[in-house]
Amino acid sequence: METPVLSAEQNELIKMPLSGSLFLEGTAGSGKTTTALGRYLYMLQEGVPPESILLLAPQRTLLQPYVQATQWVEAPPGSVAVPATVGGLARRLTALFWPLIAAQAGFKKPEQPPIFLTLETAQYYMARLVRPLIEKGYFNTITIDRNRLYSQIIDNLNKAAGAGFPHTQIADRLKSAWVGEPVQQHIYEEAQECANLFRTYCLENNLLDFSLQVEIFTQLLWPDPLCQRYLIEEHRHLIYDNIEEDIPVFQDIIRKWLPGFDSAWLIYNLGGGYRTFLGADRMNGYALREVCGSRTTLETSWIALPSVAALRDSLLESIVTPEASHPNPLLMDAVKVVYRNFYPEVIEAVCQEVFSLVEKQVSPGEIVILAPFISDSLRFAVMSRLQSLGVPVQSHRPSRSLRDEPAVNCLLTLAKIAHPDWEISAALPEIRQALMVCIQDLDLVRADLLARICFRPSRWREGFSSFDRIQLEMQERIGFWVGERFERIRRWLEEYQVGEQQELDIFLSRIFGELLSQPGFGFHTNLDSAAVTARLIESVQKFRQVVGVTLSAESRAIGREYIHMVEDGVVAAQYLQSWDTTTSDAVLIAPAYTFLMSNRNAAYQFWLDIGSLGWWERLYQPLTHPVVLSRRWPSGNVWTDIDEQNENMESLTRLVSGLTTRCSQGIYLCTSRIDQQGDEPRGKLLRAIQSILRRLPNPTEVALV
Amino acid sequence: MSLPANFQFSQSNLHDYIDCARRFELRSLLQMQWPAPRSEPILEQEHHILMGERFHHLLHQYFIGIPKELLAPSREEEQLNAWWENFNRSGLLDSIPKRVLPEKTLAASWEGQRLIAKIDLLAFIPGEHFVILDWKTSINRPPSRFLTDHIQSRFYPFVLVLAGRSLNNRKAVLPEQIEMIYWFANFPDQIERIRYSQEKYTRDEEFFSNLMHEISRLPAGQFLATADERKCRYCNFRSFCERGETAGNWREMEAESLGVDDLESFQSIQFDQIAEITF
Ligand code: SF4
Repeated sequence: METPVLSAEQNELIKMPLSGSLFLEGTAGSGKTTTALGRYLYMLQEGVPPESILLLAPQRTLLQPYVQATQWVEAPPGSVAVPATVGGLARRLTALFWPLIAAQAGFKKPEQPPIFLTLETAQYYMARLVRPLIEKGYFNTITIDRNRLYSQIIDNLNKAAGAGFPHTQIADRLKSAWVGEPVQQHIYEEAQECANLFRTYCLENNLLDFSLQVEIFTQLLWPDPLCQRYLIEEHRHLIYDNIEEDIPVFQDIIRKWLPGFDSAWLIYNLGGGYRTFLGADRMNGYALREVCGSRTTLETSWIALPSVAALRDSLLESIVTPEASHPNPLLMDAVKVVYRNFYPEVIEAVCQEVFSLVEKQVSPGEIVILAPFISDSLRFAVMSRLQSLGVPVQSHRPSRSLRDEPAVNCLLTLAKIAHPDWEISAALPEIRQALMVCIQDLDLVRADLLARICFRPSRWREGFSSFDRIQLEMQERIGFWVGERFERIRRWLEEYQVGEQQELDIFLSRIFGELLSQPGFGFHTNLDSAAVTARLIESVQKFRQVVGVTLSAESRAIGREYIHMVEDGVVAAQYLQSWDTTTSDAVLIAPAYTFLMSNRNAAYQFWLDIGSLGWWERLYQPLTHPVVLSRRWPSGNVWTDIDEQNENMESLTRLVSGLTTRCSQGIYLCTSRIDQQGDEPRGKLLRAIQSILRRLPNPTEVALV
Repeated sequence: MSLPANFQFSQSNLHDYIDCARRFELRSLLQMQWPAPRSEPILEQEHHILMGERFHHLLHQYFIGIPKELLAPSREEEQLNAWWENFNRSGLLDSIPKRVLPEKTLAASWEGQRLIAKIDLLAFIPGEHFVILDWKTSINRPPSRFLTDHIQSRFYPFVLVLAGRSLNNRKAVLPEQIEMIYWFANFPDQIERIRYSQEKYTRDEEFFSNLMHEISRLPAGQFLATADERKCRYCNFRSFCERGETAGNWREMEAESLGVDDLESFQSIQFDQIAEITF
């Protein structure tokens, strides 16, 4: 562990008595987490048993520094603290104390174990229940991707549980805040009906989505004497970081639990609260300040230069009052502008600038490229250009669907061919793509020839025909080495079909191990494809373990159902490894909010598409509402355009403040005269920036790239 | 090769190294994912592992104080039921100290390395007797000799000596005070008790010191593939190492090991996945 330089104030805090509670606040970069880690080490050195220290944060990425701390070689011998999210703790306790609470919670099979749903499996069950209703005409007045529809209903349940109101009140709350077309009221009722159906189904089948886990923890487990004694006896000290990003019912539990700890540190990030749309409640978190015995604010920023701070302050002022702002000229040292006519030119200029920074010995891991949303095409354009320039780059778009991965498409195409009874046909382009992925060094032209000759879309059930049956001249054109590998694939599939049909994950694991990762095949040395395959197999396996019983009872093939789910885009497959961006020294391309929640800073930030409305507006979510379904919204109040405007303003200032406080050297503001839609950009962020630049004493001296 | 920051030695990664240095490098140092089957039939093995996890969970519930009558598995879960009844009938608890800590993780830094041991149950009387219990749900009962020599039987007591002060009124736990018990759910009366001693501790000190130094000094690429190709039959890196195509049978693997309990969990938990929904 590198020993961080600590201020006298931090050292004093760290060595506070091991009793009482502290509310520690400060902006990002003020050293709160570093201080908390110092405190943790101090407690260990003072002989506090590590397992008695509860290390909490609202999200796993925010726990990373604590996870590493538990592995420090300097830590004294003994037991080990287990950092957790409160959600994780809730899940663990539910599993442990299940026999005590299952019947009381209303589960119909309390004697059987609980089944915890992942996001994927929750979406799957929601889809099963809601699809027939959609076919009956539910939600027919709104145009929205079905998966977003399912996820918003799930989101409603989570928000109700997080805020602590009964899920049966979702529609009433949404309806009472609505002032537009009356038809929307009906949509809310339908969303309520779906939420109720889902909850009933979960209770009947021992399924626990996140909302049920939250409710069980807060309403049944915490009040249970055995469980409470277990928690209080196990945990004598608390360090709870980023409390502003957690849901209010968890913050409430900490409020009640606080007197039970010997010592407790609650750490609050001023300017945080980025997870509001996931139900986080920073105000409720801040209210915990009042119940703490002492309070301290860390003021110094350990990150930003004065020029970056000047940029932040000027931007925040300009967002709120663009026409009356007084930009601080110091900001000129922190800002560069990338402006081109068209968006692709902007991307090229950004990549060139990144390249030149790296040439100047800036570590790639110190550079981030941010946008409100990262589309596949943007991600691809930036990543491939940077890779061609030899700059290491990683992308961070956790909601990226598995179906976007070529390796996944290849594997699922082969699965379709191996299981004709699933009645899912494979199309020629899929076959061509699959062959290119699975035969090493196979180019597009040969893959196309091979696919056209050996696969008949009209007779897809028959699978591949033999390479040996092709005319010799054509065999030569395709290449005998290709033919030899193709034949191995064909024979493997043929032999597989003769044997007993296997579950999809087992099929995938076997074809990967026995064939595709063997020498000469595309996965043999491709570690990325292997990692994607591992995620796919894990996802299928969880799906089978959770929904397998339900599907088997209906004589439906699990693999078939899974493939449908992937093709419908229900599978989002979010995994920790895709969140853990702190380890590799590569340029990061990520959505701005995701970067904020990934617990890292950067020397240089590139803000793409600053004219986009995405920096300002929230996502279109016709079935839910992050504010109306929160505690802070007074029940019965109407949500007006002014509220919307204020909320957007609040979010943008928070976002800009968060990004700038995580930047140490400089920010590149990037935009084009014509945006991707062919319009002139006119977003709020762009206008605020333009206003600053106009008001600088020497606007022409702002560095252009 | 210097070990990655925060690397921790465990019985399972050391066991990997002893089996095959290459596997240790791929799995523990490079953390390479290679999703080929380790052994077949996969479903049967998976079921066995899941049952093993359920059983460990059941005992965890029991030891945190959930009343026994609420814990009995449902009648359909025959195997679990049988193991549970075996446990209740075994009288094992009468022969161990009353103070118990289920699912206890101990860690210690030693010679600049971090060692970690995850113990199913630690039963102890401070200053007198420390019993490390390990639940085994394997279908075979390995011979005593195999158990005594197994790295787990050396590593756990060794870590307890290094890390046990906090359980022993801040005094060192002496090797003589330690006992390791393997309890086999399928063979409830064939308990294996292994006493630890100063002599064994001295021997293990040298053994682990040499082993960890050897590992931490090996340059990348020098982690050699095992000469015993039978090991590759039960290893998921088989195709990567070009050591064959098909996986061996898990029952045969069990016969040559401590059982599949030690494979990583099939249920890697996604605690708060749901809370990351709309990014
Ligand atoms: S396949 Fe064989 S050589 Fe390769 S890592 Fe596994 S055991 Fe070692």
